[in-house]
Amino acid sequence: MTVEAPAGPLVLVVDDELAIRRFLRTGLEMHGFRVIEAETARQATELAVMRQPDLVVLDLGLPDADGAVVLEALRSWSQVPVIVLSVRKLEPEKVRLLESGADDYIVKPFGMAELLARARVVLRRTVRQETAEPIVRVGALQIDIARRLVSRDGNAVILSPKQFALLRTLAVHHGHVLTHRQLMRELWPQEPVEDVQYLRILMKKLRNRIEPDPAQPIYIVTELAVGYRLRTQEQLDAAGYAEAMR
Amino acid sequence: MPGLRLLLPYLKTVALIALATTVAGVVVWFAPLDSVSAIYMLPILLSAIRWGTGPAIAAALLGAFMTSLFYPPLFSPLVFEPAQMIDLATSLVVALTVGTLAGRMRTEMLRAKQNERAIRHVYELSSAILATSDVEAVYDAVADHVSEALGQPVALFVPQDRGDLRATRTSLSEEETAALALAVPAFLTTSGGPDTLAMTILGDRWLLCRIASGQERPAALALRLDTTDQQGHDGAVAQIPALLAESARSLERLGLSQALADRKLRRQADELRDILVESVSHELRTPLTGIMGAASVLAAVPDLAARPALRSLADGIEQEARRLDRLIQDVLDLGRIRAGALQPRLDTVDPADIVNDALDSAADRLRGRLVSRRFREPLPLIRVDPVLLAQALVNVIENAAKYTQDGASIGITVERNVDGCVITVSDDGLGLNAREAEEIFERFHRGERHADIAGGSGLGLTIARIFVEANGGRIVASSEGPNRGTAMRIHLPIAKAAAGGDDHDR
Repeated sequence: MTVEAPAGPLVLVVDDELAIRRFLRTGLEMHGFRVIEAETARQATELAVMRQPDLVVLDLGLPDADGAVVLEALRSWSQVPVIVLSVRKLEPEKVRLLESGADDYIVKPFGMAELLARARVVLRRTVRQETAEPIVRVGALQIDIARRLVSRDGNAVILSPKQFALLRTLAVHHGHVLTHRQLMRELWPQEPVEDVQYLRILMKKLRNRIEPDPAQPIYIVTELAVGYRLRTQEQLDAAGYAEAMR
Repeated sequence: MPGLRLLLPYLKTVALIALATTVAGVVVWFAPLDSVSAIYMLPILLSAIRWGTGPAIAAALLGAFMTSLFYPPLFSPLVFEPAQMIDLATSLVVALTVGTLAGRMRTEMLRAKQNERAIRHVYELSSAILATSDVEAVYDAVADHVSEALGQPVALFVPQDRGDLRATRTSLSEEETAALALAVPAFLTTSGGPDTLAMTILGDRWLLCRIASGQERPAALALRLDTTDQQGHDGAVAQIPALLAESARSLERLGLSQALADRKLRRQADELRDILVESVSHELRTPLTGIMGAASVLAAVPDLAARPALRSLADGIEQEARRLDRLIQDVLDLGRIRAGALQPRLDTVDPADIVNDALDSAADRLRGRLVSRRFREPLPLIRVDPVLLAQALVNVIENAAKYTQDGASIGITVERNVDGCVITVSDDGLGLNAREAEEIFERFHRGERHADIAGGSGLGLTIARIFVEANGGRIVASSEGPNRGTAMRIHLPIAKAAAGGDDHDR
């Protein structure tokens, strides 16, 4: 069964456009991934079952069904990371997809670098879950989730319980976007989640404590109208803050 | 000849009495009677019923006189005996009573007949209107109908789009129409609110009425009155309100169904536009994704690292594809605006997040510019659609980048002022003159002084302004003058503070 084990991660690319599949295959293979392709929702579901890919890159506009249907089917039995490709610049849709189990999304058109960066993050998540790493590091920031300790440049940072809860939630999903609703459910489980105002205020205070320049946050970034993301070191480097922080 | 018309019932009464006398004579000849007065009752009753009290009294008096001829001694008139006196009195009472009753009945009948005619007219009008499908046709139907029902010539004055009136359906002479056309606008403006019925009589000869409904501008109908016939005149004037009310109702109904039809059409147009935008977006972006993706893969090929010229070609493809994508976005945005489909999804956001996001998106066009951001804390949260506002801000920032040289500085300041939050994008670039400060938000405006600066759709600032305004804000451009920099100030509404917002941070 496990003949291909030593090779790179297997990516299932689901898109009905040949040109897009072609560049994804070339680009991914160039970076050590193995690629299988599906053109339709049905094919995608079948291949996912048969080949058990490590990552799914899923286009939303498929000829036989919406990509969201594939995502739903996939999530009923698998935790495989899914990155959604969408031409639609609709934030509510992104929110819906993230909440129904997508790990990340990319708006078309996009460059290979963007996809690779996201692919690495979502793949690392699965690895981390296996090793259960309790300490999250990004830049000068260190978060010890189990011992509830946060430090920057080696100096302890004092956070209120709610501020820590927010940071911990983001750290547990390190590198992933969490929607406003997901964060608020976690932080204020008793309260309705219509108004994000409390979350904004709390975020502002948290950034004041942990960010080198709260006006220009580099660790916790805002995904406008979607949610927040705690960057990984790789995402931080990609954003061009590598020299500044080291 | 009205005189004859008045006299005729009396002549007929005399004829009836003569007839009765003949009958009485024949009867008396064959069978002598004590009194023939019963025979004379008949003409009295007939006159009373047909012609009213006057002729009936005449009949009674004549009858009584003739009856007296038949009293013994036969054919000797003017014998006043008690029996004759009783006959006379009875006849008079009958004549008066029946005459009054019949008169009242006749008036009732006349009124009923008139009512029936009026109702028939309204009914005919409404069925004529039912067959119409637009407002002008209703006006025409009303004009035709009033003219026909009242048997008088009319002229119809219909409002036009430009606000003036057009005379149609006129059966009047040109001079009359022209004269009326002068009087109509004043009448329409003074004849009360849009829903009222109004009539006025002009120079004793013309009846002007207003035909109106809720939404439509009113039309006016001029009707020539028949001055020779007071009764007909009154009847005509009495009928008009009912006709006008009917037409107003019809117009309202029509307005309603037109509004419903419009709404249905609009909804269908909305759906169509959504599908169109979706498919244009998909059709244009899909090949663009292929181009951009392929270019990005090529740019990363290790072999190319050693060949900078080729590498920059691949990079160029990717950048141009990105630019094309932005232009597509501009056109789609504008399409959305034009279709009136701009519905902001309001959210409570930190203005700093919007500014950072916009600067990120505009990063590759800001290369070579010294960008500074200044947030004057404490900043309020603002209540806006973050995506629309960020797009507006990107457009403004790009515009600043476009009209500044390499090495220029672009500053973004966010601060609170008395009634909200202000984001200012300022540069030390080409600046504006007074006229340009107004014009730059217009579609496809590109500074005449800078016709050489290419690139962009020319829609950026137009879209920015519309997006800002959709968020309840406004955008103002100002400049110290040409070559002295430009400042774009975006004023935004702040969010209402949540009660006890700080208590949650425990």
